[in-house]
Amino acid sequence: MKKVIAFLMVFFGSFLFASEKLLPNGINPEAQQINTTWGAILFFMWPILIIVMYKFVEFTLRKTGVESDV
Amino acid sequence: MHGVDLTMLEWARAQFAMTAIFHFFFVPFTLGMSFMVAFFETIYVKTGKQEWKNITQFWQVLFGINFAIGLSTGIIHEFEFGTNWSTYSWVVGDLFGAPLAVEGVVAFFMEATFAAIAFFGWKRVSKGVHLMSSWLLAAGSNLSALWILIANGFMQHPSSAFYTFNIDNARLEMTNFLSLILQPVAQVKFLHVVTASYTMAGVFILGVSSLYLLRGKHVEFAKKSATVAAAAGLVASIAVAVIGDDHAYEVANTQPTKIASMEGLYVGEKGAPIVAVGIPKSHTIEEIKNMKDNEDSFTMPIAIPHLLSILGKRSFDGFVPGIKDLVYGNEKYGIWSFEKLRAEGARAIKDMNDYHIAKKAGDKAAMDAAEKDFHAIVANVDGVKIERAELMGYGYFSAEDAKHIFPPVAPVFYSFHLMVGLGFWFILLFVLAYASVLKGTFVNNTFVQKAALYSIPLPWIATSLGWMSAEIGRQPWTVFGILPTAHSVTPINLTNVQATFFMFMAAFVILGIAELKMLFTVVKSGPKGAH
Repeated sequence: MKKVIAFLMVFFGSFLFASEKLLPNGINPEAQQINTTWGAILFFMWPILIIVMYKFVEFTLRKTGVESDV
Repeated sequence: MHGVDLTMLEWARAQFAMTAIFHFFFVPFTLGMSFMVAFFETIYVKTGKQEWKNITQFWQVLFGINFAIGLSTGIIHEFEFGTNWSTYSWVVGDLFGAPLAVEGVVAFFMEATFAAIAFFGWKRVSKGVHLMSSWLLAAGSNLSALWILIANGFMQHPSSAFYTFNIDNARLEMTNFLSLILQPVAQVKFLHVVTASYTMAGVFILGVSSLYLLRGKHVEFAKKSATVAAAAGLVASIAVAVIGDDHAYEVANTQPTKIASMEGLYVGEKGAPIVAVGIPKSHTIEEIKNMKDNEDSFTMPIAIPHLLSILGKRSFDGFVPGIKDLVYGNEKYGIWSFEKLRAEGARAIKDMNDYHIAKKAGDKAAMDAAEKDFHAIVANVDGVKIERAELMGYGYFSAEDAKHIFPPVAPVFYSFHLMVGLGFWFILLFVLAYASVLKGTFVNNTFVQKAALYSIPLPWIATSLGWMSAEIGRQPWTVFGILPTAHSVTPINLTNVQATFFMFMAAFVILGIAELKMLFTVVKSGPKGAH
């Protein structure tokens, strides 16, 4: 958990202290360097989202009594 | 723009836009419904109850109709890259073609294999194998979208981290496939598209279930379907907004002209606001040049102070460049004027010409000199180096094109803001539906039922608006900052493009009518009439 918090602090901290200088065409220089770690995290959000959606469906079916056998 | 038949260009663009919009009527529905069907089938397998099997099969039929027609329109789309956009395919085929090839090899085969089992294997395979097929079909469909969006992500943000520009064959050649597929612009786009698709499927199932309830038909079926749709749709619609925020952040940092047009920001600001509601004013390039602030950017604006800087720069006072900064430059923030970018681009084009003249003459020293100048570092910001070759696209514009170097404000602003408004409506709709489902009053709540029923077309409108803001917002480039749209097109006869435009239009109208007719027939027949 501590590692996760530290990672998030570094990640969001980088936004706060980001350089204001832009590339000649206005692009943020940080965006030009591809952050593949963040890209991978975004990708794995997809299966997590599917699982969360399905589990929430099951929870709702049980909670409402529409289907208690799931 | 030099030497381009603009009439032919506009027809080619119109044809591509028509195909894209029509194709995208089917895609998100397929992406969303495939998982909703998998959810229903999982509930059936876990409970063993026949009623859940009937529910699964009914929604699977609607999904199947859409799946077949969507596939056929996608194939037309891919052919257009070769017929109408061959220069584009030549220059960036290495980078754009690779994800499409992976899509073909992995996702299409996966989809085709498991679609056959899912649609026709109910009596031929075990429950477990069938369920696995439904899940793999859904995963395959969604992975198909992933590869397309990786290709599109490259068009939106073609970082030099992926490629090197080969002066010898005038092509971008891939150097880092991992960066290409894991670039946040592509991944966040994928998440945004799939969550919007799950929202669409949720609205559709909730709306059709509401129709049955309003008519007093198939009540148990509708109640069960609506419960699943309300729960899944609530999660999905909230996820769209959360992911959309990160998507906007990526756009703000990688496509400054797009975000400036999306928000009608003519003059860059620290602590820039978002105009939530307003009518953006149109300005000539001369007027923009003389603008000192954004006082005259909107009619009747309702602005939220600092919000654009917070969302786009993750900073209360972050500087967001406006159209004026991006056309005329802003020394303080290191932004060059269009004229300076154009001069460097023209020099890169000259280097390429010199290289080929020298190559023909067998002058190795001149070839090396041209190549060295072509790849010379022209800017270095915080260690991020920009080669002259990366600015070559600007060299294809003329001085008069300053007014075309950013996208048109009104269509990008309206499409983006309407999409966001609809996104919030879906959250509200699902909150109301879910609360009603939890209380057990959904079956009798005609207000929410009517809201859901009339909302059925809205996700299609929202997703189309989203793509309009993304693709019109990228103009005048096919590959942002690298390849102008006018120089991506195939130099073919105008009549060919016009003829195929009307042929495709006729085919789309017929396919569209067929799809709607089949969907209406199945919905009208109800769950028992599905098979």
